[in-house]
Amino acid sequence: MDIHSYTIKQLKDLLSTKQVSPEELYKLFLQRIKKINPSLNAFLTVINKPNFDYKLSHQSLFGIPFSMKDTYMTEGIKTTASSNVLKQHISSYNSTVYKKLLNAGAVLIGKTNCDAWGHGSSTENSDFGPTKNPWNENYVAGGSSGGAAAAVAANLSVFDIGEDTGGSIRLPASFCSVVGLKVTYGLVSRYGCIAYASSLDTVGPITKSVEDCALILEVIAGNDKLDATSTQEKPPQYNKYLNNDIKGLTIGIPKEYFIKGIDHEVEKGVDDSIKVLTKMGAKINKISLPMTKYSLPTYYILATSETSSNLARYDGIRYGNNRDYFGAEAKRRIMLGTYTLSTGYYDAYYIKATKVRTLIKKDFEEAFKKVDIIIAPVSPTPPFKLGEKNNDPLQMYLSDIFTIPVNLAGVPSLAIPCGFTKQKLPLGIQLIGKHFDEKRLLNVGYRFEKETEFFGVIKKGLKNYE
Amino acid sequence: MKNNKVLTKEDILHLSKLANIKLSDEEIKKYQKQLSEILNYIDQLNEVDISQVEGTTHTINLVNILKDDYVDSKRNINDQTHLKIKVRDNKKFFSVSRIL
Repeated sequence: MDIHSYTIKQLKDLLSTKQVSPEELYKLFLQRIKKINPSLNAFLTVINKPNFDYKLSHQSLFGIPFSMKDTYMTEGIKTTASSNVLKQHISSYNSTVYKKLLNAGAVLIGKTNCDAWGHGSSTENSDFGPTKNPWNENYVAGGSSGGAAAAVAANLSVFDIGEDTGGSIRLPASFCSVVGLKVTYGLVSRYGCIAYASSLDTVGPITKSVEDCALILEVIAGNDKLDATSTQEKPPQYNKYLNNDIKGLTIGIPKEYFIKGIDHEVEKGVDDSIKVLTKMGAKINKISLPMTKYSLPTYYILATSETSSNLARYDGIRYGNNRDYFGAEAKRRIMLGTYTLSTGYYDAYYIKATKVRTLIKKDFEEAFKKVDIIIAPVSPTPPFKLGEKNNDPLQMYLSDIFTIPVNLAGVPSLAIPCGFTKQKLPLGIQLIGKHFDEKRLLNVGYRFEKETEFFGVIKKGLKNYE
Repeated sequence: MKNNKVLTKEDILHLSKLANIKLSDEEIKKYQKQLSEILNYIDQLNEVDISQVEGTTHTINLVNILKDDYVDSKRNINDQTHLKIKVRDNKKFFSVSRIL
């Protein structure tokens, strides 16, 4: 039985009919991790002795093993942000998202690898080695939540909680052929999430299916009084809307995202997906997001400014090691952010960037007056080889050109698989929505998944959609 | 118009001091080059007309949340063994380098 590849729903069926016990299921995943993780390096910490609270046996996620990016506080368990600064750091309290998942009966099997502090697009900036792509170990798993995406893709855990500031859930999900959701800013509490850029960071699920994603979102979304930036809006029951018909849905294609330089296979992946959605009754509109090209420079001012402030607390005085333990990328971003906030440069950089951000956000607000959702590629290229972009930081930053505008605007985006390249490497697309419109994105993603099984039909049956 | 910004060694040393990050001579040279390139790339923001625009720091409508000032003992950190606490005269302290 390939139960290690089962979705949450399928595993709940097995558990509730007692075909497998929570202990047996956990042991199965543990054995897989011991066998497969040494070559993938998806996990930094593995929990060998789980705690099953049978008082929670009627909860929605009881007995389901999950992992979390190592930027989430988990009391009593090592939490490193993949940095040597926190190499031996043990969390002294729980993040809200972790508490909510525990209260739903889920059981943590380990903490996953990432670019240190979330700084990166490939997990090559981890101080503990990169995570390999489960589809081809010569390639990166994407970043910064690379370990999270690889763990779910390689069936080492059932779902993971990643973190998306400039694409860090969507890019690795795309590179590993799993589902990843960047929520509306403020939908999920960031309390206990090691902060990278506080006005951009979002907490979100990485799962095997869209339905699983909706299930997890129902558990973790909603106001938290411990996070002052958490929304007051009550989230809907996402599962209720999954099967809605998408006839008449209007989908925007931003012309600025299909420029010279985008990989031909990436473009084809989006085109193939558009054909499927059109066949299902959606209408396509060409739209413009004119501020697109300014998103990357805006992000690299705001995110680095905010991270220079957030990482100031790591002085080794109360916990962790001192600042000599920061890696090269962390130092680079801290110094860039220090420059953009410093006297004499604050107006020219930081203030200017906040104003350009207003215009970027406005682009999306204008677009959503004309269309319901926007479809876009996630990465300008398919997964790249380990070491390929390491020599030029700016080249690496360009991996995020399609994901970053979404974070600057604070809108949600669902990354889903849409096929493979000729070299059998994963491709993904993102469905971008209005603020708090996750239920529509999950609906469209779910219908797309049912229609195509993400790549089965696209590869074998594209002729049905010509 | 491309502004060829080049950060000097003094610029990097200044940043290193502000950010409290020690740098080797090799690192100073490396970051001079890399940060200059990034800043040049960022300079394209000068093309944008922001004269009538207000800045955005939050993307959803947030209002300041005020709370009562009281201690919720349920949220005490009970296990303090992982913090670098030093005890002197039966009181708990964090130890820092001499400042003055």
